[in-house]
Amino acid sequence: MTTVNRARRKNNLQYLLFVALPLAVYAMFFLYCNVNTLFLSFYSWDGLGEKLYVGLKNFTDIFTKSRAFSISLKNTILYTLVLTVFQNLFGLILALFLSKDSRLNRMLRTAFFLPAIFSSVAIGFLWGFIYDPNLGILNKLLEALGLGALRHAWLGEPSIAIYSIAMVHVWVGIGYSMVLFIAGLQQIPEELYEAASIEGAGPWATFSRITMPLLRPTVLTLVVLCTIGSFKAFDYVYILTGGGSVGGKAEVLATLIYKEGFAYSRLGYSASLSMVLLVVVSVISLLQMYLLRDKD
Amino acid sequence: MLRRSAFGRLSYSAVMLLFGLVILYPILLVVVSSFRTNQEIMLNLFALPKRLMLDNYATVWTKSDIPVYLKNSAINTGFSVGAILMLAGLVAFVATRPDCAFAKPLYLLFTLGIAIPMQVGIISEYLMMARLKLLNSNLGLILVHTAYGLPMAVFIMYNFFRTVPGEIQDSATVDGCGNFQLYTRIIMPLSTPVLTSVSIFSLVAIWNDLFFPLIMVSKQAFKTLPLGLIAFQGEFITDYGVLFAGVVAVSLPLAVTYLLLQKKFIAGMTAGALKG
Repeated sequence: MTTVNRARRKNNLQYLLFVALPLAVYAMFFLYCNVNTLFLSFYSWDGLGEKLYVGLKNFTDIFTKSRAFSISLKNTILYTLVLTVFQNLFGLILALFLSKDSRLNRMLRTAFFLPAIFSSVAIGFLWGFIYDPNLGILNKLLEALGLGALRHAWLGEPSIAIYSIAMVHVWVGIGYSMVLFIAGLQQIPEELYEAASIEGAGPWATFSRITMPLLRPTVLTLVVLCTIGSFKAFDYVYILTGGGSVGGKAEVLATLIYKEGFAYSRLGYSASLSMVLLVVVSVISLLQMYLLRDKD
Repeated sequence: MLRRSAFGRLSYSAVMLLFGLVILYPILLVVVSSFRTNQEIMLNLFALPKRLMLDNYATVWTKSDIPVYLKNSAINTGFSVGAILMLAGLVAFVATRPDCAFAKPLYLLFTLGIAIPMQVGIISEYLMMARLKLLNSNLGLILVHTAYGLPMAVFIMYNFFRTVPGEIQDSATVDGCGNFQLYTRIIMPLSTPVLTSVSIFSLVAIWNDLFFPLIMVSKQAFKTLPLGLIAFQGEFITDYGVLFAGVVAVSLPLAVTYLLLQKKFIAGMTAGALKG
């Protein structure tokens, strides 16, 4: 008995040694920094002078005084809706057409997934060019189609900028949704479709009674990924608006945190915003775990 | 399913054409325009190049800092991905050992990080790097990228290591295989698919990351490709031909690798969502 215990203790010591380095790196550069943000959120500090303890003042300011916060929260939610609906709708359409494993289908899948590997800066440049009010392809295309009245300064008008930006993220993510939907579709047993066709079910009945219900776990995963992805979204807003966010009208939570911290040097306030973001994302993640558990 | 009837074939072609235009045409336009002069582009955006003109690329290579950014990105991504593989592998291995007393808390501690957005820690991250004098350095970026890459890598590797049959591990232990040998000689060789997935997943994320370089690097000499590309755009804003060539040059390394290893890339990049 004691020898077994001793061997076990020796093993556990060894295990501790194995994970010492990863734990050190992770604790120092990840965990500590996140916990430290929590502390900072109770202070008012410009990074140079004295740190001033202000209790919950930053948080009450965020929720009662800050117009920038309510605008960026509203924009983040709009961004989430656009991204979740269109990325997955378009991804599903492509998946339905491309789920069979043929040579052509595999080639098309590879092509549609391609945007996901580009850097956001390259994509931002490309779309900045598409959206350009004078040179851009989008306005030229609308003119050529006789829809000149629909021309816009897609990134310059506060009322539409956030939608234009979210559509860029959709463009990048369609292939990702497509791949996950194809994986889901390929797990649906062929017999179910055969049985349905013997029973005389039309395409719509087959889709709504078999395909959609069985894709539910995939839909759920994608909705959660898109939601969390949207709340973290920084790059496209930052790049497409040149960091300016159309005079603050296209601000989202992530760009507001960055701006408060690094442009205005309000470190405590920025840390409080980070905590709000963390809470929102955690709630969504917990909801995901709860929903996924329900399925098993 | 949708391809059998004539209507099905027609709608297949229509949908593919539409998405092909929207998704691929903009990319193609950038590539084609990178071979044209600024004047040609301004005159008619949609025309084809008159000849294979490489002047824009020559300008990018000799007059811009893109070669410097490329070097920094390669160093930063290479070391970070290597470190993630090594460190996450050790964590995932220990967390899957049945006789490890702290397996569960260890796994939870690391995967906790998946849910935390990277914007949360930035202020503290910046302050710490400033204190360690690691702003404007490759080492600083490598450390941060490694730390932030660990959670997802541990998650994916843990779920794979769990599927390695216990009997293989037990018989190795009976044969006098120590823990370290068990890890390097048995688990690692059996895990090449998941190692590939984690490498690709981390490679794409770190190579393309704008956020950490943006807060940690201000000196030209330490900028990575995404951050450098912003500076490059500011510098050549009047010459669209050069801008296009720069964007293509910056995107090319990963795009070529993707086209060569498409299946592995897609598997790797979706591994987190499909549980490895």
